[in-house]
Amino acid sequence: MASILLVEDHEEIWDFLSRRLKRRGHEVVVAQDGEDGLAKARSLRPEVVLLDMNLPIMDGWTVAQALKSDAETARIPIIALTAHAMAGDREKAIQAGCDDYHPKPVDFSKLLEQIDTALAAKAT
Amino acid sequence: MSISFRIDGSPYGRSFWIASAVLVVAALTLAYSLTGLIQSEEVDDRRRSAVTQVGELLSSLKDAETAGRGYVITGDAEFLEPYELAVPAQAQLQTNMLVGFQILGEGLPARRIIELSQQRLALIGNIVTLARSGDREGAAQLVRSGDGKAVMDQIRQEVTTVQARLNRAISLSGQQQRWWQIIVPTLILLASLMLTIWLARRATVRQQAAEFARAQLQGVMANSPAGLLLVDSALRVRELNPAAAHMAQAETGALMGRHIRDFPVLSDWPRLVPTLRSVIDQGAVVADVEIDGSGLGVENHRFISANFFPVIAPNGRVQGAGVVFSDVTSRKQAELALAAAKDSAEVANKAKSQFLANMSHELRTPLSAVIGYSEMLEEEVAELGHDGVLQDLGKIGSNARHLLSLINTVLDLSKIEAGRMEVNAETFRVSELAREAAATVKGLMGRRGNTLEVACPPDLGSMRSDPVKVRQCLFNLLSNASKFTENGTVTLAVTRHQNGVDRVIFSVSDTGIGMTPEQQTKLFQPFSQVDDATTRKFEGTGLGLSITRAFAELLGGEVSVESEAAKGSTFRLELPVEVPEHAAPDGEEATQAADTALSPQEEGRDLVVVIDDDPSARDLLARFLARQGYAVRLAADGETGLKLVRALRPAVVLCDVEMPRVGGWTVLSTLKDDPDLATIPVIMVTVVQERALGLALGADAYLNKPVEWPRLNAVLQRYRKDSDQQTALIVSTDMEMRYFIRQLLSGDQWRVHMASTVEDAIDRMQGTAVDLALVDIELGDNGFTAVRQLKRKLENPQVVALAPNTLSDADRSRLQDLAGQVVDKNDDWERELIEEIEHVVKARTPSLSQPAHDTPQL
Repeated sequence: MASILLVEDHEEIWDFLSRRLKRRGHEVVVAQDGEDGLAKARSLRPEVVLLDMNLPIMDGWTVAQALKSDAETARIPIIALTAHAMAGDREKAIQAGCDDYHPKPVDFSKLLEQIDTALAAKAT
Repeated sequence: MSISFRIDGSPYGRSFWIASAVLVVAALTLAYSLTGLIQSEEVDDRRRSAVTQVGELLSSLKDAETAGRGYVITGDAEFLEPYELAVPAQAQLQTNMLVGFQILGEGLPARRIIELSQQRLALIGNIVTLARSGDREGAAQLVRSGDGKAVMDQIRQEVTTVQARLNRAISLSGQQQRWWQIIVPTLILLASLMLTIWLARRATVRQQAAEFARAQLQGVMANSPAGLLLVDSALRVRELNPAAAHMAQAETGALMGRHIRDFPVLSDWPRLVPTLRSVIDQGAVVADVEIDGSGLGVENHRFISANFFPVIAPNGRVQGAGVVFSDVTSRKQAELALAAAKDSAEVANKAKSQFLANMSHELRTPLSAVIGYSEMLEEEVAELGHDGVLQDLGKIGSNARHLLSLINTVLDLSKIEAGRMEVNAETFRVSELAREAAATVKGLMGRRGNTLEVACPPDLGSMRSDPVKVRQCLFNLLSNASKFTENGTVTLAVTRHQNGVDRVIFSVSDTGIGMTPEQQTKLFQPFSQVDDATTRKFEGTGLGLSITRAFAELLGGEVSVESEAAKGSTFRLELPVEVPEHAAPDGEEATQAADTALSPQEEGRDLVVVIDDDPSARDLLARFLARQGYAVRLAADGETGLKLVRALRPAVVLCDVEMPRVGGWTVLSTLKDDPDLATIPVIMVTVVQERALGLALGADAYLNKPVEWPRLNAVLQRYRKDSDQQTALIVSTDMEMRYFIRQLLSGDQWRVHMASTVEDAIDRMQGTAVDLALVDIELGDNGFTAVRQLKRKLENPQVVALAPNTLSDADRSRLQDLAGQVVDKNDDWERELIEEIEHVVKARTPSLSQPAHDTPQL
């Protein structure tokens, strides 16, 4: 089971997501804005970051770029959570440095699969 | 231009034909009389010589008679000499005479005279013979017998008769000739007279025709509602009819022959002079040039259509050019109104789609929380073993997911309608995709006892299209077929048609309830199933088929249906193997404005950069601006727009708010944060109702779509380089204060810039002439320094200082010295400020036409 940083400003979303992830045995830390997310990622070094894109203070794309440009945090896989599900969103997230992309609303079983894939990729 | 006028049918009148006939008769008569003259002259000569000849004959006879008598009397042989000469002479004379007389038709009397002469000569010969023989008495006897005398008398009589006849004939012919001498000149005189009359008449007629033509032309020119202008090759005005003169605000005739630049209004019309030049150079017609008369001295907003033509002489040389102006204002206004109506309809439609898209998006966020919590609860409740609650939770979850799929479909539809649905073309194998789609609906089929048959030959090859959308279409058609079929068969058959456009055809047939023709007509409309009863029985959104059709069209294909009630339906989805280019995202449009440099024709015009992602709005704005005489550059997104603004430094920027990539707010704040670009006025033109936000971010004006053109024009007038607006600067750390003061600077008279600090203001405005600076002073020395700096760095603007009302009297007079005008922020300060502003305006008005920094300092 993994340590996961969930960066999400929408209270209901982070609440149920973190609780369901915890039920699956994951260790979850929540950050509610981009700046907080970046700080927690740097200090806690989680195994996976679930990153919302529309965040207050600092947006998700900026957080992803900051994490990927820092050698210390560059290897942490980031799964982008976007609300738009528009055609360009995926490319935009990947370009910013995210490793994977999950359009909202959350399809929980699919998200679990993506977390597993990210962890497996990191392990190799 | 050649105009020919004919008063009567023929250019030659009756008098011409009579004169010509007389002339011909005169000529014939002259010829006839000349030949007659020559002939009668010859005959007369003969007659005269005949008279002479017959005279000579007689005289020779007399000589012979005298000689005979003399010999008889004297017997002297000497006397016989004339007789002996006369005998051969007589023969000669007789022969000659006979020829001449026969020609004259006088042969008979001639022969008689000759016969008598011969008798007479014979008688003389007898006398001479007798006398020679010595019988002189007998000879004398013979003489006295009188025979000779009788013959001689006869001869004389004949000769006299003939001579008289000949002489009469001669005199008669002389008379005839005299007649001819009268007739011929008379005829010639008559003919000349008639020709002269004809020529005179013809000249009169021609003059009348010319006068008529001229009057007609003048009538046309004077009363034609279309303006007519003719210039020669040196662009001197040769003709200017009243309608054109009215449009040009010139007097007809007053400036005729002057160069077109002496008609200020005319030569200010954009494109008029260059087009005239090119018409003269090329010698070709230039039709339907639109000239916008607004703002050029012509009555407000007159639209003029001009047709240019070369004036070509008969020898083919271009002598000049002409223009026909017609006032097309009413047509143009109707067009503009129509375009505006269409624009506003499009905008409204887009706004509706946008609203739907936003709504759907907003609905999804809480819905994902509902789904998330219900799923979580299901897990927890399952662990606790409360099965009754679990079922209820399942219903919440499945309904929430159903609602989500409805919302997603609405979102898709609205995206398609708003033109925001993108096509992501990929190359994929057709059979693989078909099998995948079949696999996803297997469970669905089983639930209703249906069998799915797939007829998909392996040699279908690949296609290039959007696989996600094709898959969704197939899923919709297959699940639809299954929904209306029970214990039947659903068949998916895929074929490729290569005649004509290379297409792939997916056909989905079922053995279900089918549809009547009436039901089929409603089939593809959103939210409609064949009827309300079926909707209740076969739940569903009623959106699947509309989406399928919209996707098919987006991918360049189509959906059709064949159905029979109670027998089943067949849906055919036909898609081109290559998705057409126009369906691709509009990235290329953004770069279309890349050719940035101004063309020579645009030189000297104010440049406007339009940033808008909607092609129709862009086009509409561009056309309007071009008509107003602006040079225009277009950008389809904020990024391109910013590039253009940096490269071109336009006079004004028009910017939409909602755009892909870089949005309008970003463009606005980027421009206003850049000291180099901050002075460029930005007008927001958008459907978004965020006026306050726009102005707070530094927008110079905020207009809502649909655009009210006169309003846009009025706003643009403020920023025309050549307008006599004045520049005002408002400096205050308090944003509300800045905007409050800005409101006080009413009307189009002011170009307003705002800054939060004096440093910022100086940064921004250096190099720009500032007429009036309104400075909100803070307490302390800083305020004084600021005013001093402002005056020094900004070429001495008129400064009005807004002072805190806690200012001490000493400080106040210090400030007064520095700034010139001070307004205390007491209860009445707005009114005082307005008065001060008006005061400044009045003081400056006389020198308005001069550049602002040349105005006297106060």
